[in-house]
Amino acid sequence: MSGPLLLAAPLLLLLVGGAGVGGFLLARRVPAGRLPLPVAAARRRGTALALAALAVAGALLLVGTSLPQDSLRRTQLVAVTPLAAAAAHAVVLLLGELTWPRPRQRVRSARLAVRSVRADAPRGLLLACAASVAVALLACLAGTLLADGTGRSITWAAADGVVASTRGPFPGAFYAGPVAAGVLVVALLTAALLVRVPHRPSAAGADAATDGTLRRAAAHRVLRVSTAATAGTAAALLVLGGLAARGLGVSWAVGGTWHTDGPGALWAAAGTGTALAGALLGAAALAVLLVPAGGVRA
Amino acid sequence: MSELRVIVDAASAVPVYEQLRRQVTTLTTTGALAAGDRLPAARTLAADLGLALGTVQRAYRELEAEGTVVSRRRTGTVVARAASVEEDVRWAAEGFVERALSSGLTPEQALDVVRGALAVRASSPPGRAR
Repeated sequence: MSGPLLLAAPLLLLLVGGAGVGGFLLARRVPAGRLPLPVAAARRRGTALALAALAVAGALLLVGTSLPQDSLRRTQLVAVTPLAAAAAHAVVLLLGELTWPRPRQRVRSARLAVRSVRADAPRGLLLACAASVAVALLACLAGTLLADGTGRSITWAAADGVVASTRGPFPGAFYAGPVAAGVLVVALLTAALLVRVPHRPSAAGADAATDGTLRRAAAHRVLRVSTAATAGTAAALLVLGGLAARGLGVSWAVGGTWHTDGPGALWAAAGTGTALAGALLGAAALAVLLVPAGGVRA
Repeated sequence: MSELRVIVDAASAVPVYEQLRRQVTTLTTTGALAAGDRLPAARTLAADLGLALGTVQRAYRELEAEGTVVSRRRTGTVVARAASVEEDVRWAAEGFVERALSSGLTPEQALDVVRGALAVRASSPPGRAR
């Protein structure tokens, strides 16, 4: 009973928070009638692309997580579903950027302005995305090194080899391999979009500030979802790995007296700390989804 | 720098790369572009103007050949030489443009007047230049 509740509570909070942020942004949105026509069209295109990308990602997430967990391959699939959804989201946005309308009029003008990924991407989200990719890959590496031969659990054995303890699920190679591949795919697609954004045509009639806002919004959209998916996946790896590591140890009774043996208090504390860090990272991943992009000013 | 613009006419008899070359040269001559100023990447400018990448690259190559810009691996295309037009010459040009346009000349006709004056200057013996 507590499992579904634990899953539903953050999602419910996310929906309520999302509705609040969305309502706030809609209330502050400059009406299209007060913007030059090409700028309004560019904003409309960006919004439509963002909604299409979210719909594709949401559908993939729903399908991936609602499959019956009747085989190990299915559990692998669930582990990479958020990353697959983020990859699909990035692909839709990338297609939108690649097909941005080119100027067709006879007389055309362009600003002699230097644009770059650094200038057009929100710095905080860029750093958060890079950090979440690094944490996810490190978690995959650590899990692979610490896991036992199955790649799905962790085992501790006493020095004399008489007693042993195994806990899982643990993010060993069985889960870490596909997750690491998924993280790299998301990172590559995100980077491709970030490189594309400064090089796509400007919206005709947009001044430098408006053009910059439109580009930052495009970069913000992909970074927000990619960061959330990567950080969320890293969080899941840390929580599962931490809890499994914390649970290692054996207890047995001899003549009415209980004996315990295990990897030690420091190990258990490290496991608890890792699980807590994962939980915090998971909360941060959900919060990132609610960070709004800057809007166009009239 | 960020508000400087280039304008191309796709239907003009002058090739588009030449239009670009002339405008960048004019901007450096008038001092609007200073030495060290960066030009946008050829790919960016081509996207903004709806041109083939090769067209902008050709304009940049011509600018580089005449020494107006240099291409560097890390910083891209950079203005190489600063303008040495004196302030009073610039003011005189601006005054002439204002006078020519207010008298009903088109920009092209105003340029023809300047070209004509330069042609007279070139055909005069050196001692009679003034």
